[in-house]
Amino acid sequence: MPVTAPSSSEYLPIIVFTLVGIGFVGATLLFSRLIQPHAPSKAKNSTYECGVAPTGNAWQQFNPHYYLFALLFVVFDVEAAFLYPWALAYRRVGMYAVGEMILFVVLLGAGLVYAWRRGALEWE
Amino acid sequence: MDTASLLVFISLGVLTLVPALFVVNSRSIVHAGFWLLPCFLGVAGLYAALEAHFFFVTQLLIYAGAILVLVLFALMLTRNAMNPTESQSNRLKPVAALVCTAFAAGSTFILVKHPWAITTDTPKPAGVQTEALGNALIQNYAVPFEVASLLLLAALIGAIVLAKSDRGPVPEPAPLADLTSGTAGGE
Amino acid sequence: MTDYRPLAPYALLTILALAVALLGTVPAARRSGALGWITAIGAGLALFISSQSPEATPWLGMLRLDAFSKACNVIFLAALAIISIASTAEEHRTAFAGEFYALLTLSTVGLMLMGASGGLLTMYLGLELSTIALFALAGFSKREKRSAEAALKLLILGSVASAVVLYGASIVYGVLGTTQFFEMSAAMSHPHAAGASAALYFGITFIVAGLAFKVAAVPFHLWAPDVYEGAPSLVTAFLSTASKAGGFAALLRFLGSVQVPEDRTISTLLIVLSAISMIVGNLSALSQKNFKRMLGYSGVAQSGYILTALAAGSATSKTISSALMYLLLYAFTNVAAFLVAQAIHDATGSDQISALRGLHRRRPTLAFCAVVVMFSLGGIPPLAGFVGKLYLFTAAWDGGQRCLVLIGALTSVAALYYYLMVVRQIYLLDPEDDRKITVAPAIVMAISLCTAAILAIGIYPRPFVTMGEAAASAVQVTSVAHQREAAPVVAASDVSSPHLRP
Repeated sequence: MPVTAPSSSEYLPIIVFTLVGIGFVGATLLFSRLIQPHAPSKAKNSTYECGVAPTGNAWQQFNPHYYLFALLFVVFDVEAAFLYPWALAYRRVGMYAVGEMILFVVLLGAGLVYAWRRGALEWE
Repeated sequence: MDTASLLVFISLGVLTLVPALFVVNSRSIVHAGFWLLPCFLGVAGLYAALEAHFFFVTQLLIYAGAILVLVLFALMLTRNAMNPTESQSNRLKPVAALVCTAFAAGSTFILVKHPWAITTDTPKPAGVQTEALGNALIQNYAVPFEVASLLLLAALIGAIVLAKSDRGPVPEPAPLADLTSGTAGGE
Repeated sequence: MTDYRPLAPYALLTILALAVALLGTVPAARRSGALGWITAIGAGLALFISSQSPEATPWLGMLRLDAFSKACNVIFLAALAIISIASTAEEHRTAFAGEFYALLTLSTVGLMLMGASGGLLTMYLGLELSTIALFALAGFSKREKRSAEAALKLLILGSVASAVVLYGASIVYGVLGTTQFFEMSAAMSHPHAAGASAALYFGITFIVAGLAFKVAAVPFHLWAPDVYEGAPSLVTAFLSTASKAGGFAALLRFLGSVQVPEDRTISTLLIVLSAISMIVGNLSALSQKNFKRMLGYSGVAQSGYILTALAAGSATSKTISSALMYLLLYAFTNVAAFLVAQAIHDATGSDQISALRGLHRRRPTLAFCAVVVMFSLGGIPPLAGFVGKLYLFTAAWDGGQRCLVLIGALTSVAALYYYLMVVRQIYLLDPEDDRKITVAPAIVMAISLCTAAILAIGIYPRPFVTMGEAAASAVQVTSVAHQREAAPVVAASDVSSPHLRP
């Protein structure tokens, strides 16, 4: 049976936890909405109620370096995900498995060395 | 399949597909990016319902974690991401909708009609599954495993090329004539 | 113990990619202009090793390093080497020369894996590797908007295409329970098999459609003219030859080794793809003013010609040998054509066909090479293009696709018109500007190599036909010699059941 009933699943606590979490946040928001006084004014609705009025667009182009860091993070996150099944399997397969993982890591490690040499890790 | 499983499957399907519609229809690209989160979570839920534990964790870790962050950073690089006035569709929308509906109906018909070999085994515990996956990756699927690393490497190099400015210690492009005079000038 | 020697070319190219990427970060190495030569020599070395290495099917046929993969490697590595040589002329213009060659090399590794794939997984990863590297390469001219547009179009449409391949592969895996080509054939011929069900054809159709994107066959061709036009010509040269050959290699490997019972569905699909590719490609090319765009549409039509042979039965040895031979000569021809475009662009700053006007006065050798290339593309007798087309159409005719051959012959005549219009610009019209133009020696050398190859294949095609025939018999082998004696395959179905139907 590919899809199992939640009653027999180990994921039941997660489901319950998620539902309780959503319910708690929803209930809190609803409750404060019910008891709060509601008297909006122009000054209250401005971005900074007692500050300088903002001008222009809040949108700003970010430094592309954030993107490079995020990309490096993804690459090594994927690598880490591969390490899990490997770590479980290597007991039985032994040195062969170690060799393969070394190759895998060395290829990405070379990529990191390249990124570092290229200055992708420095802040311009 | 019992009712409870069906209910789980349908609610996870809704959790995946409805945000997916918002992703493609949002006028603000940032909203579209954030709508990816419930979509990824829905897929993770489907893996959990199939008792594919490793994929559940990977989906959360990589898609809902890393890839979403990458997408949001990529959106922040754009100069004009907030453009809620422009429409997200064009006049071909009805045609596209028709084609997609026909395709979805046809493919569902074909796929539902097929006598799939449905396994009756109880899913193995997480550790056993993941170990089997590891064995497969290391032994018979070693080539895809190592190529995955090359793939990441290519993506890394490509992204650095595209994201990094080519200012810096590069000489200004010299006119070609200077470089080739003497060697290629004579015919 | 697995024989790892046949993997040497792949390892060599991987090391080469890393080495040039790292060397490219050293300003002195970058300035020396040596990176392109290192890549070209590395590619040549890999080609030599590949031709010398023994055959093997390691990892239970996950990879099939046989005559077919060797023949494909000749195409990919020749294109890589020639484009690397030509690129040395442009090396000083970019800060990313190392990355350029590294990505080109990694893309080649991906293509080689497609040619050597023994299953859907290897094929898909090869496709991804080659395409991902090409996304970045298409956007390499960062100061040009058109290049960024090309990269974006390739990225979006390419991702959709690879998702389509993956979707099809998942259905095929669900039906047959394996991703390995040999086991797929066995599963289909099994008496209790669900066999040739609609779902199986559905899945295979998707795989073919995704690969049709890679080879730019109509109706999956819309990206090709735009990307060819916008991407730097050196990248387009690779994209339109090696990358296309990779798509065909995967198609031949897949359709050739998986014998689908009574595959009328698949052959109908290929007939339609082929016919509309030839018609739409050639008719659209007629009205083009931009040289690279015209070559883009002509490339669509050329894919149609190759598909005629595939439509005649993808498992026959004539199909495979003629398609491989055509891809090889097409690689030389189209690389040369785009290098001419690059040379003209460098000299005049224009990509229009009219920029070629009076080239015979301004640069006679380049004009001669360009005319040889155009005649070969048009299929004029002593040249390679003619021989290749003859083999393709013979294979299609023998396979019973007479209607397709007729369409091919008629559209070839139309094609001759636009190729000859280019020749007219080059030879019959007088230039507006009579001054000589300079072309970088590296580009001249690369174009001359291609022209020599076109003449050689046209005059003496025998060795290439032999190579194709050996490749064909390698594809048709229907089982791995040492099947399943090592550790049992841990089927992925243990981990993720494909049977999702609620």
